[in-house]
Amino acid sequence: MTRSHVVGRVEDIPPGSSKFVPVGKFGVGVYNVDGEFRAVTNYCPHRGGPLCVGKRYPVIESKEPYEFETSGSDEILKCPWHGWEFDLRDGMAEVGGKRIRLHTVRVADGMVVLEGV
Amino acid sequence: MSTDDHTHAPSTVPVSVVDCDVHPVPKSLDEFLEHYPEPFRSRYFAKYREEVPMSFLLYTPHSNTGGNAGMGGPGGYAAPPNGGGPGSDPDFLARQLCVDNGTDYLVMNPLNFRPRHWDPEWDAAHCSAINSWLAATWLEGEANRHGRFFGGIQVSAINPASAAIEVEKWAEHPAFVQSYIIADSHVAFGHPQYEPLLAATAKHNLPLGTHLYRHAGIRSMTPVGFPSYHVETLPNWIFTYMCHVTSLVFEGVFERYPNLKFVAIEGGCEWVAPLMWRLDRQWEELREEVPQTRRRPSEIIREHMRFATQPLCEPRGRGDLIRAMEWGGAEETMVFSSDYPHYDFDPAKWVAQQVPDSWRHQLMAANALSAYTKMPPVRPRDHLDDMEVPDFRIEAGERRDEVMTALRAGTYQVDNSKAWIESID
Repeated sequence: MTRSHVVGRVEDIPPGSSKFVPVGKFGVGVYNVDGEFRAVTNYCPHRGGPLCVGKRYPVIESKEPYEFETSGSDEILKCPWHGWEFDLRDGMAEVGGKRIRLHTVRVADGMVVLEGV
Repeated sequence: MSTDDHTHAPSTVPVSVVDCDVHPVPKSLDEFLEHYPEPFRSRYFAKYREEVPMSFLLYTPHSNTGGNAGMGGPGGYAAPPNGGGPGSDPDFLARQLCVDNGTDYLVMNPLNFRPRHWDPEWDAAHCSAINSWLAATWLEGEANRHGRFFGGIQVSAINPASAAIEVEKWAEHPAFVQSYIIADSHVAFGHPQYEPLLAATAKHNLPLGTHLYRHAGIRSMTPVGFPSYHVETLPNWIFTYMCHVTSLVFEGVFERYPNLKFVAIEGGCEWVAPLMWRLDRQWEELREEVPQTRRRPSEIIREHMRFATQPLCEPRGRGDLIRAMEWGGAEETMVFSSDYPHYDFDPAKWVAQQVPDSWRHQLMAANALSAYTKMPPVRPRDHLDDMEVPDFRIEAGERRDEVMTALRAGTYQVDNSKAWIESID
């Protein structure tokens, strides 16, 4: 059976920060990505690592060696095991075609609510 | 488990997972330097002492892009909750490996800030300090009250005479199970200069374990020169092992020391098969040159060598990996290793799932036990067996969340200013 969980007040999870919710089999990390919330299962599709322990990084792009540009915010979540990187905006792995499991998360009355876990 | 169950639990446990590569680190530089011999302690650790462990970074363009950032740092997966770097807390390490990963025995292979490979005297003293520190803080006393921790006797790869003395010093210690040499030598391990080390190791019925070490740049020579990037260096490490294996086979080392085993750690295992085929072919054609090598190279390798799995490759078809491992004699030659607490850590349960039932026990335990002859195949039941924990991911997620919350609130109390700085692979 799945339920809704109140994660916290919107202002307590500002852009760039996150909140871990110990629900479901592995727990869920709720991330504020540039004002939008994403909820990620704490299980890396690569080898089952605790994905939500990972740190966040900006998107880095390079047109030629020794020149690179970084995005302004931390859209990338990097697993502590093996460093696989996932884009929090769409859940896709940067390489390898795997996808993280995203849950529904919504804002209601100033509260962040996680659904369906 | 209820109290009643515990009363009836058997008092011994058959060993089913041996992890051949775990990297403990000191809690601080001070903890390590207590064991450092003079005159080297005064000479190198009086002024600028904090810079000495970092010196390998100055020699190497090591990536700073944060491969292991999630393992260490505040709230990292392998960061001990009470502070210190990943791999610095014996109880936390035992909890993550023996409980969360179901590992019975761990072989500790310290990598305490890179070999002093330009100075044989300092290198020997450095090895001596590591062994004394490892024994005192990990292999003896409270830290090893469960008896799960074993260690390698670290010996200098550039000072074989001192290496033999170091082996003699520790060989009778019940928890030191191998001679342990860094793979970045000046000559290949079959070279006659290693005779004192090989003789001492074989005399005590120990295997010779070796671990890769070098990073990009001038410290990491390949057959075609020096790599620019760390990402080049790691795959190129297999060539170091191909050269050592070739040398050990054709110098007739195992004909001279028939009880000796060689364990290649951190090099993976999928390259072994094609090397065996090629060694066999060249030996068939050219063996008059090496009359000391009386058997086929592949036979020698199957009997005397072990290849630790990490980093286990992931070709698209799992069947391809299994075939490659079987061609390389996996059921005899391959042993499990995790490389904890580094970012490229292979968890035991995941590795066990990759391999077929028919040789899973060989890979996960039996091949290691037949090389590390000091390890009993059955161990006493201990407190780690009875620890009941929720899914480790939830616990790790909550730990990280607490730390991040405390950091934001300015209430984070853990002092990590003295935490050990170590390489990440």
